[in-house]
Order: sequence, then structure tokens, then C-alpha cells
Amino acid sequence: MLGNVATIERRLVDSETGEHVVVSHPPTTTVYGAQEEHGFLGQLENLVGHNGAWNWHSTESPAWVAGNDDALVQAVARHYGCPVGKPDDWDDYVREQWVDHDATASSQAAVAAWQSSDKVDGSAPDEVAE
Amino acid sequence: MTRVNSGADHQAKAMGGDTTVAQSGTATSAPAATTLTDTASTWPASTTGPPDTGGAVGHILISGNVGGVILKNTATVFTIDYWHQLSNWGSTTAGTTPSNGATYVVCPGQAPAMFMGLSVATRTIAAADAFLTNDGTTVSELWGSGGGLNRAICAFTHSLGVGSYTLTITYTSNTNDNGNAAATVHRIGVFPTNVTAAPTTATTGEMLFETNLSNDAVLVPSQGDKVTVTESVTI
Repeated sequence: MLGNVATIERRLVDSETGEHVVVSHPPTTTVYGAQEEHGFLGQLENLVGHNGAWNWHSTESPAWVAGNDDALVQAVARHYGCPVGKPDDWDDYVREQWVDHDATASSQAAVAAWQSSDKVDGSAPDEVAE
Repeated sequence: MTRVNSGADHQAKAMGGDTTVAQSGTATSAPAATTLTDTASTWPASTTGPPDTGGAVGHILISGNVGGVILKNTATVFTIDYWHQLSNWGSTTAGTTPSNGATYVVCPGQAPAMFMGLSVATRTIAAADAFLTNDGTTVSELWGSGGGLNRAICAFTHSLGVGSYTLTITYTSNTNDNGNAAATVHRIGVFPTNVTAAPTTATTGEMLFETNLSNDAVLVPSQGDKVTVTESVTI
């Protein structure tokens, strides 16, 4: 798991311009399920690579990283220059963000705002894989 | 990203249940590599596809320390993708086939759709697509024995409290892929089942999502070209 201080709520792609729009969400924790089949380098690449998972979940480096696989945790920490281990107040922090935030409302509002902006013509954006 | 029709069925059963929820029983003959027979089973049969629908399709059948995703079933025979090792669900090395008399459970819900396959197909995606295809009738999914572009399990990532998740995998091509010829990967499919041989209409299983890559990935196997694909799913 990783501390996420710039969480992406939705990542949208304008089919005309290909422009990516990221929408922030309050800080949260991002969980990553590494697969044994991918091997160490694959597990690392799938998380921190250019089109890896992290860049789809956050716009900034993780605030911290923790997990059961010490080698992977250490590699992620070195890559991002972040500390290892959950903050002492992690349980309270997660509970607070759950109580204070409505992800669905936030997402809908963000998409509506984007659609009404001058970035698009009002049509629904596409969500695509890369 | 398009959630195809079979994906809607899978998703509904995963989240809402099924008309038959679960079942336990005993194998009444020696199970095979992809089948388990229970003459006392009461689960309704699936409807012929591809992919088969209804019945126990998409449920996980577990026996001991192995399990498989049900592709189809008759009144007494469950057909699965293969016996996955529960300790390494993504491995294509099958676990030990259960024995005659083995107890089993067909679990509630559906198997997680964590497997991604690649295709060079450019045919327009349709909700009715039952598998990755370029002509609507034959499977067009890259697969080679020992290849690096075969259907494989993805890493799951989710930010707590956020209505989305991602599936990510890095494919590394090798000379076993696409006849050692360059492959222009155009789209991906997301499946709850894996394959241990080139997928056919009988083995490809339910497909949940079909998505064109934002850019085609031209992979030259002899160069070991790689591509990382992330499928972002809003829920």
C-alpha cells in the first residue's frame, strides 16, 4: 500500500485531442496487488513504470510505502524517495477520509465541470487504456 | 472501454448474486484436467454460447488447494478453464487434479476478471462481441506456446474510497509470439478465465471488457519489445 496525497478520481481522455484530465481526490491509501507471476521487475514496472498503475492513481510521488514484500517496498521507496512504513495515525486518517468524502458525488461533479469547460465540446469523454 | 454483453452478465452475478448461489458436493468419478462430474449436482445447465451463459458460468469451483473458473456445465458435469493453484491463481502451471471422491464447492459470486489478452483486431468493437475477434466468428487473440504476449493475470490497484480500479500488466514479447513476426497490438480484452493454449470459442470464456489501446503497440518479438497496459475501470 502507498500513501496517496494527490489521488486521481477519474482520468479522462478527450477523443479529439487525446488530452488527459486528472481530477483530484482527498489523500487516501492506494493498494497494489503484486502478482507472483510477474516476477520482481515486472511487479515494480507494473507499479512505477511510465504507464504503470501509480500514474493512473496519483499525480505525485507516494508519501510512504508499506507492504509484506520487503524487497519490493524498498525498491519503490528508493524509486520515489519516500519513507517506508504507514504513518502512526493511518487508521484514523483513513477513517476520516471515508467519512468526509463522497467519491461518487465528487466524481460526477468533476466530470460535469470538465464537460462544461472549453476543453471539450460537451460530449462525453472516453476512458481508455494505454 | 466497452463492457460487452457477457461482461454485464458477469458483473451482475458478481455483485448481485445468482439464481443458484452456491453448491457443495463430491466428485463421483475421477475429475479430468478441465472437468468435474457430480451425478448428484442440482445446478441448472448453462446455455450454449460462445460464451456459454447462465448455469454456473463464471463461478469458481474449488476442490482442496486447486480451483477453476466454470466455462460451462451440464446437469452433472462442470467444465473449467483449468485447475489453478489457489496459492498462485495467475500461474498457467496447473495444480494437481483432484481425485474421485474429492469434495468441492461452487462458490457464490463470480471469479474476478483479472486476466488480460491482446489482439491485433481492428474491427469495430461491439457490445455483442463474445471474444476478441476480427471477423465475429473466430478468436483473434495473440497466443503462442511459451510466448510473452499470452493472456495473463494483471496487478490490481485501487485507491481507497475512489470509484475506480486499474488492471496493469507488462508484456514482454519473445520469438514464440506471433510466429516471430511483428505484432501491432490494437486492443485488449479482460477475462475472468485464463487459457493454457491458444484460446478458441470453446475455451476463451466470458469477456468483461474490450478496449482499444490509446496508441497501437508495435512489438517486434526478436527484439523483446515490451508494452505496459493499464486498464482503468470506473465503478
